[in-house]
Parts: sequence; C-alpha cells; structure tokens
Amino acid sequence: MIPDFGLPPGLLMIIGAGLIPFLPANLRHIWMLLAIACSATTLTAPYGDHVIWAVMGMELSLFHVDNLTFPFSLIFHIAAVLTVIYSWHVKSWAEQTAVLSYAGAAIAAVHAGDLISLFIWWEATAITSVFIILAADTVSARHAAMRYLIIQVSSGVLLIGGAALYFHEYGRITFESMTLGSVATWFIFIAFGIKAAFPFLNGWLQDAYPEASVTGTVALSAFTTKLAIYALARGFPGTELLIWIGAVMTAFPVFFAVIENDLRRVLSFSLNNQLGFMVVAIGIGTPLALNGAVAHAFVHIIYKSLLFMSVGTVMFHTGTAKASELGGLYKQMPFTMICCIIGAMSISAFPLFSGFVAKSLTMSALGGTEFILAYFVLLFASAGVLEHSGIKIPFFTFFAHPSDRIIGKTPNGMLIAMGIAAVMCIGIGVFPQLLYQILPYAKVKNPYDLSHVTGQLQLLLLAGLAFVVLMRTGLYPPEIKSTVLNSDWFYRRLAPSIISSVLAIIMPIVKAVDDLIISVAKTIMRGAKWVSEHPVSGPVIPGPAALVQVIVLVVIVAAIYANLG
Amino acid sequence: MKNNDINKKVEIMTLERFGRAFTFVVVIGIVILLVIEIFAHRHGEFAVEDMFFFPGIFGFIAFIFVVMAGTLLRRFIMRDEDYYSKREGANDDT
Repeated sequence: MIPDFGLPPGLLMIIGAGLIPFLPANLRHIWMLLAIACSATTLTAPYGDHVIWAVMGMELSLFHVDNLTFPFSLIFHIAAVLTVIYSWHVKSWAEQTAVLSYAGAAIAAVHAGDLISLFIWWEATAITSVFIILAADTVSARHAAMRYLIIQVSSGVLLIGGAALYFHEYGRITFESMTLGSVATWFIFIAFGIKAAFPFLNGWLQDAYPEASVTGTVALSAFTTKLAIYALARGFPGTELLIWIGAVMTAFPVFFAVIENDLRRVLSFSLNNQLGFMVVAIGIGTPLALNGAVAHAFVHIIYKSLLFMSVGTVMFHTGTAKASELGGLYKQMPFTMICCIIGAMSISAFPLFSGFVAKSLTMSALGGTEFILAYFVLLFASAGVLEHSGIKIPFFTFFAHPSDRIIGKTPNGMLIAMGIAAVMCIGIGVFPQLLYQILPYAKVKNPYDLSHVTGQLQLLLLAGLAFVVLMRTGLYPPEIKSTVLNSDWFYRRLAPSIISSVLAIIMPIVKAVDDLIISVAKTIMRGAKWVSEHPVSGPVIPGPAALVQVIVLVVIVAAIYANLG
Repeated sequence: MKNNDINKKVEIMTLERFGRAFTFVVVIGIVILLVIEIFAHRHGEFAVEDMFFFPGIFGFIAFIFVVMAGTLLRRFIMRDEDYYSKREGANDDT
C-alpha cells in the first residue's frame, strides 16, 4: 500500500525545494531530508502506472513503476540523502534549492512512462543542474554553465523532436524498447547519448562538473549521466552499436585522465570511462548484461560520490584540486584518506569492494560472445581505471610530496556522508546479494569464485607493480599545471575560430552591399522627391505624401492581382 | 627554520617507508597469486585468458601502455593552464 500523494515521486522534492529559500538556514537540511523521505515512500509502490494525466489528448504516465525503475529510483534517493548530509555546512539556499530540485527531477524522469513526460523531466534536470554550477559563483563556472546549458537543452530538443516523430510514425508515445533505424529513434538515441557522454559528445562533462562547488559536484556526479544510462537501458537494450560506443568510452578517457592535473577533472574522465562499461552492458542486452549495467550504475553512484566527496573535502580545506599543488595530506586528513582509498579500491574493482561485484556481471556477460575485442578493451580499461582512480587520486592527494599545510576541522556532515558511502562500498562488496536482489532481471550467482577473484587480483596487482616500476625508474610523468584539450575544444576554440575567419571575409562584402543599397535608396528617394515637387500637371501635393499614396496603390493592385491569379 | 627542514626530512622518510610498504604488499600478493596459479585451475571468459598468469601480464603491459601513451599524448593535447580562460576572460574568478 503506498501513500496516495497523487503526484509523481520526484515532484514532491521539487515542491519541497521551492520552500527552501523561505526557511531558516538551520532547518533547511532537515527539510530536505524530509522531502526526500516523503518521496522515498513511493519506492514501495507496486509495478504499474500510478499517476496518469490527460494533456492535449495524450495520456502522460508520470509515475510508472517496474523492475528497471526501482533500482534507479532507490539509488537516486540514496544519492540525494548523501548529498544533503555532505553539504550540511552549506548556507547557500540557492545551491540547496537547485540540488533538491535536480535530484527530484532525475527521480521523476526515472518514473516517466512516456516520452513527453521524460522530456519534461529531462529538461528539468538540465535547468536545475545549471543552477548548481552557477552556485559556485565564479566567472569560469558561469561560462561553463552556459556551455553546459546549451548542450543539455540540445539533448532535450532532440528528444522532443524524436518523440514527435515517433508519435507520427507509431501513433504512441510510450517510453519502450526501440530499434534504431528511423529518424525518430536516431534523434532519441543521440539525445540519450549526449547525456551519457558518448565519444565526442562528452566535452560538457569534464568542462562543467569540476567548475561547480565542492558540494555541487557531488550532486552533479550522481544523476544526469545515470539517468541517461537508465534511458538507454529502457530504450535501446541489445543495440549492438552501443557495445562499440561503450568500448571507446571505456578506453579513451583513460589516456586523458593520466595527464590531467585537476583531480576533479580526472574523476570526470573516470566517470566517462565507467559509463562506458554500462553502455557496453546495455549493448549486449542479455538479462545478465542488463543486470550488470544496473548494478554498475548503482555502485558507481556511491563510489564516485565518495571519490568526489574525498577530493572535495581536500579542496574545501586547501582551495585546490590540482595534483601539482597537493600531496602529503595523509597525516592531516586520515579519515578522508581512508575513505578515498576505499572509493579508489571500489572503482578499481578489488574483490570485497562494490565495483568488483558489479563489473563481474558485465565481464561475464561479454565473455563467450563474439565481441572478443570489446572484452579485451574493457580489460585494458580496467587497468586504466586502476591508474587514474585507483592510484593517481589517492597518491597525489595524500602522499607524493611532503606537506606542511595546516588543515582545519572538517565539517561533521562531510565526514558522516563519506563514512556512509565508504561503508556501503564495502557492505555491497562483502554481501553482494544485497545488491543482486534488487536487480531487474534473472537471478545472479555469487561472483566470488576462484577464477574471478584471482584473475582480477592478478590484473590489479601486476598493474600496481607497473606503477612501482614506473615510479622507481622515474618514467611516471610528473604532474604539470596545464589544460588538457577535450572534445569541448571543438566548440570553445575551433568553431569560434572558423566563424571569426568566415565573418572576416563576409563582413566587408555585407558592408559593401549594405552601402550600395543605402546609396541606391537615397538616389530613389531624391528622384521621387524631385518628381513630387515637379508634377506634370495639377496642384502641387507635398512630395512624400504622394509617394506613399503611389506605393500603397501599387501594393493594393499587386495584392488583388495576386489574389485573382 | 632548522625544525622545518628536519620535519620535511622526516616526512620524506615516512613517505618513502609507505612506498616500500606498498611495494612489499604488491610483491607478496603477486607471489601468492603465482602459487595459486600453479596449483589451482583458473579459467577466463575466453580461451586465451587460460594462459599462465595472463591477466597479470595483461594488466602490467596495459598499465605501462596507458602511462606511456598518455605521456606521448601530452605533446598533442596539453596546453597552458590559462589556454581557455585568457580568451574567455575567466581569469578574474571571485
């Protein structure tokens, strides 16, 4: 029996967010938790469509529940709680309002049973998340927010365009499994692909996420991209193209992460790489693979939040997330260091950590298929994950160089949120059935067999040995203050350069044509004035009046002629 | 000033000790895995993975390749820290 709110789950949080500015600062976080708790009561709803609104002759399903919505809705609620606790010290109502409404919009999107409802919440996540970036209140954040907004809204435009064409083709708007082929499905696919940070559509992620505040980035890392994964899992399971797109996503960000100096940007590349694993699993499309995608999304939200929280806590104290400026903080921030290492071991898929129990499903699903190349790309990317998230993040933050920084007290909220996330990473790793029992498809067997465990440990420990060898031989590249070019370069540098060059050629021509038109118009006006002041016969009528009358007459005659014709 | 230098030296020595401990744990772990590999049958998802210590060798080579290729990539895609901000006017962060 579910409470009959008559509203879709996330909408309760959005309404709650609207009241945050009017509450005293010390009550806001409690209010946010209450709003999330109210929304979470809907997790007990049975499968089916619970809220249907008739709008313009269409039935919008705003509260759809099935085996796929449940795990995503659950983890989105958990992520919202973690974000609120982590940001307990934040007094800015603007960021809190944006965070709660963003989480609410993402949860509402998961429960959208049709493409129009999905579009509404899709755009709502875009708009609310922009305010999270803006809340950082820096010039670079404002610029990044505008670029982010354009990209996100473009995704929404493609989605609504695809939905309209889909309705035209099939006569329905149900959000269901689709087959790539028509313009409609391609539009929808690309819309999902933008938010899932497909190759060359990923620039917004590494551009915008690190520009948000310490707490804002934690919120951003949880929702948008995983909503896209959910949408792909519902809309395009078993689409083979996704296997290759996902494989590229797992491999390429690894190289960028190696040389990136900003650790929050490293985590953004890492996020992109992890999305690749999920996209591959969706592309395989078997029940085991789809379970793998869902499990990976679930645990990824927790360990990625944990990593962003750890680096965020360091940034909170030091004012920087640049690897070249950090190091040696293990003594000043031992709890944060332990949490960071737990997050790093989880994302690297060490046995007994959450990443292992999720990634095993995808690798098992890929094993034995004809996609052997994709399998080894993922295996290669696993070593890459260890490099950038398993080693680089904790090493350059807490070790690497001695540090004499004096670190103040970390807010309790930050410590509690990191602690909860760390316990969840280990809890799921040790008791995988906790996660497996909520997966949408067939039962999943225990991943802890000798082959899986020793194989994974071999990969990770020998990769760790490679790190030791590179460090001791001085071949490991030093951290350098720099900007690493990414696909956002195309619209931040290339496109403006091309447009400037084209305008430099075109503008003189436009000006010349403009001058010509003005001079011709002046000549005509002078001629007309002369004619009106020198009539052939009759009384003299003021020139401009006569001219206007002639023009009106010509227009009327032309219009009548055109109409008759 | 002298105290600072001593503290720094102690700090460096501690970090080096961590480094040695990390290496020790990794090497011991690898030795244990080698023993297990000799006496137990491990099978992979594809036949090639059944080769002796395949995941380990693959992981070692992949890690080296990632770092070396990344270092090479720096020549092509690495720019000054203010590469974008000097044009976009985002230097005056507040």
